[in-house]
Amino acid sequence: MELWSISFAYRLGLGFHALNNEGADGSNLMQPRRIDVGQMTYDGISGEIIRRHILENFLDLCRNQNPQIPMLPLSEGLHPDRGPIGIRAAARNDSANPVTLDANNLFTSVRAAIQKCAVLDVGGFLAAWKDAQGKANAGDYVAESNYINRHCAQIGSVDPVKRESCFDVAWLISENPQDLTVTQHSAFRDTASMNSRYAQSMRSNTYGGIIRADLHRIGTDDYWYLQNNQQRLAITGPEQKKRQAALIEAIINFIASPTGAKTAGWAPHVFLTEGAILLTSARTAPFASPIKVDLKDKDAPVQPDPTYTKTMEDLENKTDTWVWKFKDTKDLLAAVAAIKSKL
Amino acid sequence: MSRKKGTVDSESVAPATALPLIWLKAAYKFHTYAYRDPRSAFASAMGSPVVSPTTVLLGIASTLFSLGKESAAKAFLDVANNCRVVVDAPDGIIFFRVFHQLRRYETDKYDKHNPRLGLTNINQGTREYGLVEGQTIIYVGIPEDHAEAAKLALTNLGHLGTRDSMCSLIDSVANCSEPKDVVYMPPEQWKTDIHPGCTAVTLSRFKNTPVTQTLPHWWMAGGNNTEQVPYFIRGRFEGTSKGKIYRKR
Repeated sequence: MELWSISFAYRLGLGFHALNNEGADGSNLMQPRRIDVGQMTYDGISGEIIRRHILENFLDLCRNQNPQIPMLPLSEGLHPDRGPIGIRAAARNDSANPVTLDANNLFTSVRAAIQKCAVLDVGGFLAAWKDAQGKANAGDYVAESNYINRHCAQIGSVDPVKRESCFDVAWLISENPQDLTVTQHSAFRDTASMNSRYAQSMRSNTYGGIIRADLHRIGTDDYWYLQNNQQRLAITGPEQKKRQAALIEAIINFIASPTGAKTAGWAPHVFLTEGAILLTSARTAPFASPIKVDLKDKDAPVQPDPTYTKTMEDLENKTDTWVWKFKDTKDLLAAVAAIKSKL
Repeated sequence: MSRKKGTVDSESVAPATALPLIWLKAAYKFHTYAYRDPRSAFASAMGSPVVSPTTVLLGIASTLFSLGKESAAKAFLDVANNCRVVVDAPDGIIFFRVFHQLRRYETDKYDKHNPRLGLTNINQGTREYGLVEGQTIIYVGIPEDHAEAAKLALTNLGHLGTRDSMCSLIDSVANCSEPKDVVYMPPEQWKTDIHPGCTAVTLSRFKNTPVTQTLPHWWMAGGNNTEQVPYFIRGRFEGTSKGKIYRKR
């Protein structure tokens, strides 16, 4: 069995951006992610927000393939409850008659959901439904309820099911303390006497990050062993390769053109793209972090690690492990074809 | 059953292993690290510099399942309560708190006809993440028949702690002797042998009873066969205005 896995260690220079503004604290000021070490404040962009944008890239790629890589309707909109709803939709299987999701068809329905939806497959889910379904009469959720009524099975007595995501994203951490915050007002005001309604702080820094995808899990059924004579791979080999390639390209597209929260007015000014990609068919892909921590240095406890690409490169054996370094976006995009040729 | 925090009952002694154990050593590095103290509230999770024995043992089983090795995973879970775990903390960790949108499950608490029962809603909470200096070393004592499977799992372990707490194995998994110098002391040890310069952290571990399934397809820490107890580890915490720093020395 080949254990295809890929890791990305990368540095991004992001100027005047708000990718790290993910929420307000009750005031009308959008708060950036801050990492406080004694007197020093660093800057971080959470892996969760990056994951979201990699998935957006992924579903664009799925949609643009010919033929399309299959997705369920709510996954195509990255609906946050796509897992539970997707499994219920797969259970009903386009039948005009309502079907009840219960212990008899739970695992076959989870398998069908993986087959029908690449987003559920690579993105993972936790379906922790209760054993009763309420009446679909709340105005807040009309669209969702309509979809559920038309396309989803009723919920019977059914256990929670979970699928771990096939890819994980660690934080982007700034290499230098954050001295300056620039505030952007998100609504135009024509008089200086008025307070700004909403404000978000903008940052500039160079960041280091890690992404890893366990490609060998794509298209597999986590519950194959609970079904009679069922193979672990739930889709065909060629379909698995298409999904693997699309996920790799989605990750690369993020690094090449990073987007995140609060980009409506300002795309980040990218002034640095570099790193290393390690692909292996033998094990979970190792990585070297682009940052290093030195607690003895009070003025700079977090620093760039200049050796990280060399460390990644030293792991290459050209038999089952390959490494591609990139120093700019052109190098990075060129790696897509080379990686696909190895799969 | 006793799930009282920080207490040790007669049932909850460290595994009295009947089987001879093979010790394995695996060193990992992180980019960012996150492991939640099991005592802390879901919405304000405190970070711990070492992971718990259940995290390591369930991580081995989970990795074996993800590699398609279900029979090895199930067999390992059958002896997990006989295994021993020692975790050597890294040199230091800077913990930082972040404000998160947390997903919680819709319930029928306020609306008996809630159409979104079982789906998710958003609440706010905080989490502690860590930036790590040095490496975390995991030592696992495993019955001989399961050592090869555990070695495979430790080689392919994707994360220690939460999913975004990815770890990268340094070198390879090696056989070793039982670590005697590492301070990762369960209550049975620190009550008779207190070391200076140590800190107590709450961790979860299996009791002496076999690990049981929560559901036909699910094994979890937190049931009747696990408990939370204070472990002593080497090092100190230093508070900052908005977080904490752990230093081993």
